[in-house]
Amino acid sequence: MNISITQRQLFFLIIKTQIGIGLLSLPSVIQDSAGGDAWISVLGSGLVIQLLILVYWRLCSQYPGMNLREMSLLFFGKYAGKAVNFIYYCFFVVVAGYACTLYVRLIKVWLLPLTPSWVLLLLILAVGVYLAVENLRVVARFYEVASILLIILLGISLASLSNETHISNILPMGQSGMAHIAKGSEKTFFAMLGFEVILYFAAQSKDTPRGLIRTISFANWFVTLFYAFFVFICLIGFSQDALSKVKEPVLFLLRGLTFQLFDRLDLIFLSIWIIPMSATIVSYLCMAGKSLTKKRSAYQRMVWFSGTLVLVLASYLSTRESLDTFSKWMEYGYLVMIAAVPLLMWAMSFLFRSFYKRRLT
Amino acid sequence: MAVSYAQIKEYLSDSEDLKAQSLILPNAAACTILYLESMANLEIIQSFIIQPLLETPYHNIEQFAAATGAQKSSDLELIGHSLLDGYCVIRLENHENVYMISAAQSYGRSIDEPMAEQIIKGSHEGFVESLSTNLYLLRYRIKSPQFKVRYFTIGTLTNTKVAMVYMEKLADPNIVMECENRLKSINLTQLYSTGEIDEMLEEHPLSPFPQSLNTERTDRAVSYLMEGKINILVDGSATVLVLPITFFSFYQSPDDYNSRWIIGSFYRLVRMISFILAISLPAIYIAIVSYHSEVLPPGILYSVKVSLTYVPFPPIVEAIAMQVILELLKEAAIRLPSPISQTIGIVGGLVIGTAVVEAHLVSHTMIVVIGLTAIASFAAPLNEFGTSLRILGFPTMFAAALFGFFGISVMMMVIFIHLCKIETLGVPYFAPFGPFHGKDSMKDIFLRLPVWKSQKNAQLPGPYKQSFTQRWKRH
Repeated sequence: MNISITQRQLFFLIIKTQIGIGLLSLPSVIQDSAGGDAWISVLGSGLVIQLLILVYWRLCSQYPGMNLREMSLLFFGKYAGKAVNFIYYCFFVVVAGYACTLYVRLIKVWLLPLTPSWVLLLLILAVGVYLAVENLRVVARFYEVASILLIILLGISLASLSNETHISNILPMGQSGMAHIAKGSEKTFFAMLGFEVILYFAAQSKDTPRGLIRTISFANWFVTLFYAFFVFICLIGFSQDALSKVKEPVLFLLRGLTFQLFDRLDLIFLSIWIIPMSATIVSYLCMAGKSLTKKRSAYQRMVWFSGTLVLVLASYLSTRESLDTFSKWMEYGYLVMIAAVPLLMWAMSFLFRSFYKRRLT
Repeated sequence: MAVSYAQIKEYLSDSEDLKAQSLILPNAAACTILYLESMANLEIIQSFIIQPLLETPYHNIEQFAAATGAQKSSDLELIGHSLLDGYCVIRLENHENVYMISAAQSYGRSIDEPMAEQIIKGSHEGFVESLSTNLYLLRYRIKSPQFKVRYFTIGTLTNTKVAMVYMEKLADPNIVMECENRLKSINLTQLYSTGEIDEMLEEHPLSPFPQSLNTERTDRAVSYLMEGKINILVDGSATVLVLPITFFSFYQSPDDYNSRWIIGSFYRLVRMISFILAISLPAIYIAIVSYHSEVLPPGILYSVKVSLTYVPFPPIVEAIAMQVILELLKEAAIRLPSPISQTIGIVGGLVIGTAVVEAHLVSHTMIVVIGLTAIASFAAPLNEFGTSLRILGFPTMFAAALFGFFGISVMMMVIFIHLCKIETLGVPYFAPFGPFHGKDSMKDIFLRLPVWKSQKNAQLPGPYKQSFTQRWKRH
């Protein structure tokens, strides 16, 4: 089960999990609070994530070869540790279900308005499980190939600069004030989630601590800049009024473009974007499997089971009118699961270091 | 107890081409010479075995046997098999063992260029049906002490000789051992061609992608040997099996290396585009006309829609019908003698092509799309790979007809996930993606960089510079 991955593979695992559905609506979400300085918010949130990543890194390098499942068993003991892992499992399934719901909504709005949700969900999850049951190396291999598409997506988004752009939209810099920028950062933070894969996948990378921090920081700043770029082109492409009215500004930005051979670049962009969105779900299925099991066959069964759970959950969620209250709860859950618990572990390892080291041997 | 003539005769099912010649040696000892007249060369037997035998004094018979490289045996099965290999068996009266001397007849066609893998520049040599000639062709190109051959005999009835060839220090010993074990455990009654070996060795029978490379070109087989891969040769088959193979090998052609690197790289890129086109072009067309017609600007949309107006079928039916017609034409034309197959070309291309459109059974654009797809799939340097691509086109078309662009994306994901999943002999099929071996291995994938760039030991000696802008300039 413990198949090692390289630095580069870890990098792609992180960025592909982070880049997903959140980006498409991000510019209008943060623009509400941070206005023309939304792009600074993205950088700010990258900084916060960097701090969190440092904590992850300390944990991973102090207990090399251990993923979060093993760490929580170590820190909280056999029974409480198992309970924590189970909560993590539920959390990952819920996140995957939530991501699937948003994904299907987007597909229904933009591409296939009449197809029933469960058919789309079934397709997405079937593909997700097909990849997630494999070992991490295969998953990383696919992410690596799929990352070529990011270049194409960047290329398409550059085409949007041929629209009218108003650099004055973001001037003067810092106009909305620190408080608003920070608020925007908070919202961005939830769109950039996915770096928690480090806690599970870094255990399998054969890397020195120094190499590890370089890889994960590099991944974080790649994603941050990628996001900042898209927020930036939306800010200069739309006026503030327009931006607060559209739901997926990144797609709308491309909608107006026309070329000799094809129109509606947004549809082409979205069709390609399907792959990063599915990759996010694959990562969460992997993490769900890893959070409870160690052996390969058990892991595979667990992934199948989680896939079914996600399907049921997402089918239920997609029948609901509004997800606002649900997403509010999700945000609290996120903070606890990916910030509070690892921080707690880090503090415990800091305070009782020798105790855990002894328990390890 | 020596093996008697009658026993041998019975072992070979009383076949009438088993000849026995009785001789009286100079010392008046009786001697029988046995051979299969269909397998042995009579001239060799006459002048290099019988004649010297008659001149040899009896006490020197051992020396004669040693000089002709004769084997000694009293095992009926071994004797029988050596007769089948074209050996001549000498049975001496009152001798425990018989002597077996090779006198095999070989008729083979001459070495010429393989029809299916023609190239423009470079070597025009192809493999033939004889195993020993094929080995000669390989060794002739690699005169290295590391060139290693291992023989196997597979097929309990056909007793076909199989050779596994690799470079001792270049090939990964684990892969070689695994391949050897698999070859040893193959249990077949008959073996005629490399195709059967291929099917016995492969790990993913459900995959549409070929997991070993069949080639008739000597230069191609040799280049893979030098990359540390294994060649498997089967006696009686003019194709060589290359293992373990990766996806991108199917897009390399010897032509790339025989022309300058810019030209080679250009055609590499063209072939990569052809891969995507062959799988997805009809699907994209179907998705556009049935779901997302807004993707086309009004000018093009108008001409596409006009040609669709009178067509009574949904696009998926059109596409599948045209693909089937195309495959029919191809299949019919392959085996016909070339004058007749030209007629097929005219009937297929002109008569069916134009008539089908004029009768409003299929739209103009669909003909263009299917034609482009077919050409794209033929651009793969290896024919079997192109066929795999056309087969993969069908599920993609169905996905497009059901779910539009979303279906295509999902289908492409499945195809690429599958490519990432499969491994042959422990080597990822989609290498160099996956465990990156560093930057070097990417130098010969999407582009074909110059030899001095892609081969480490091709560096220029000391005083010279080595870069794209300054070559052969002194420091």
